[in-house]
Amino acid sequence: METAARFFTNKRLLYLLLIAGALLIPLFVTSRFYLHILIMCCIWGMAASSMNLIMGYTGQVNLAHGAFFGIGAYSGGLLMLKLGLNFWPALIIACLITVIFGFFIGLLAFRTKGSYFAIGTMCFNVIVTVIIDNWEELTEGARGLLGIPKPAPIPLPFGQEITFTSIAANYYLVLFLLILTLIIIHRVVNSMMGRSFMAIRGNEELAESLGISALKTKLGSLLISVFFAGLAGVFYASYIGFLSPEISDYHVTFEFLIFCMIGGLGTMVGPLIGAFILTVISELLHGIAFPRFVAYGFLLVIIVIFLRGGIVGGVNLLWVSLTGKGGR
Amino acid sequence: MSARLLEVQGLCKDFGGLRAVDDLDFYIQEGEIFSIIGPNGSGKTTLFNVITGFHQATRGKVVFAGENITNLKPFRIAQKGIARTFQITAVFSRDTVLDNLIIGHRLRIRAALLGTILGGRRHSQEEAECRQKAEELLEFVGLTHERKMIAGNLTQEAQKRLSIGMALATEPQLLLLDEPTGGVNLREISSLITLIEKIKEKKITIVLIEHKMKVAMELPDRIMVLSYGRKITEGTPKEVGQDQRVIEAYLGKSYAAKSA
Repeated sequence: METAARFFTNKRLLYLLLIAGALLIPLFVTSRFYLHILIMCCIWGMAASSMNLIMGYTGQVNLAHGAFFGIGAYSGGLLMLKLGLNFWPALIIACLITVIFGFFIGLLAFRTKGSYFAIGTMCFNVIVTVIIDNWEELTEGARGLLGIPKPAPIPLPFGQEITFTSIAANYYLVLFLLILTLIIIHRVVNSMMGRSFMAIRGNEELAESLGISALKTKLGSLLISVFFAGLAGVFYASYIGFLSPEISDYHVTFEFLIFCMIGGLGTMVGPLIGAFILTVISELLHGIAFPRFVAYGFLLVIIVIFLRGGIVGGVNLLWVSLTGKGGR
Repeated sequence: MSARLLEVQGLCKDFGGLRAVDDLDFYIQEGEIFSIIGPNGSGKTTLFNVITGFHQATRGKVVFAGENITNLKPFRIAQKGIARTFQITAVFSRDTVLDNLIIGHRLRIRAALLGTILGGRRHSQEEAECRQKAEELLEFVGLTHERKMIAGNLTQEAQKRLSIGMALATEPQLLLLDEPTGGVNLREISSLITLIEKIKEKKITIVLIEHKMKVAMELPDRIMVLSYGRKITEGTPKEVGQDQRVIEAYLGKSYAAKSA
């Protein structure tokens, strides 16, 4: 028990150090390019972590996650541009809109199970993209949404305010959103609710026989998951300032999927690690015209064959074989 | 022994043209051990599946504690107080023994979203409740030393005990055990028999599906014999054991000679 407690505080200390390090980065890194890469890492990290909740912990391969990211982004963008809302209310409303879409899509898609669910949700993803692409009166179609405003300044007492014009300020905002996402997902996963999610992943029939409603549990997990996909989407819309229908495309879904699988599905930090590594690599290799998806494809094949648990799973295996102590 | 806890009336279950359960009437009294026997394919497991909502009944009624529960969803039936185990032992094989038992009590707490995210006293109380229940059951089913083991690594016999423990964690009034000694060798059966007797002492009514005659004939208060989905006979082990049709068709002539 004592060593377990020590290990726990060690882990907590590690997290605090990581957060402190992340907070200090803009003091040393002034290059806009590097900060931009970090911001993108955080956005994709949020999206991948949220997908991990429904896919990694609840075992439901939701291939509509890119669509939810897109729905969040477009809802946020449209609320700001067409209704003239300020970023903050738009952020909250857009996330709720994403959840509402999640509810109805989930209700339909959860009539199927396993690989049928994966195919069904992927169809929804395609449908969403087609609608965004063709409903030009609302979404401007393929021309895209231009000039989405940056977050509005937050007033402080004594006439000061926090503005989001500098890239460092945007970095701090996305870092805050990312940490918020991770804390909530962590809390959910380590609660009775998270236990029900994992029970559904483990054996749906058994879970039902223990009085756990499969539909309610899966829907709950999906709604929490798409809420954060929407959150990441709205921030993306505001930060980039431009949206086109491709942002909801199923390619985006597969990118999230690959982040999760390479980092380690069903682990807390796996999707984050996957998102950071792949985003850094792909942004740094931007100049080289190397088809990204070909590289992703190879990586995925290698991971699936040799390293089923992703990077985190691999590190765990290494740890166990080095120390002889059983991790999880 | 008085009240009828479960009553099944005119129950039928068809799979296409095959009638797996055929116009079945029986009842289960509070506090008894009731055993269902019959050859393979006689509809025992199908009957369990219909009672617990995993299959929809084609016709007929299932009444539990005075309430019609026919064709409710499995999780609703579990919440009403009927727990079951599966013929092919089902545990969450990637989780620890303790975690398996904790999730068993999930249905008796609320675990709302807001509480989960914000914490709070009620929330931690609920968690503690589930843990305490799990600890009690670890002791009850005799898995205290295996608490941290991954459930999938347990022996078949220990997995059976764990799955019974999980069913008990739902705090049932009625426990349906589908072959609790299936796949367990004869030397290890005694621990399971003791466990079932202990459950009976806790005033939980038990229905057993069994193939092993030692268990099927010695434990129960009453036995029902099925064949091709129909009830052949019903009664105390002694009555059923002496029934000529049952002896010849199911128990074999050697058992008949022994009991006579």
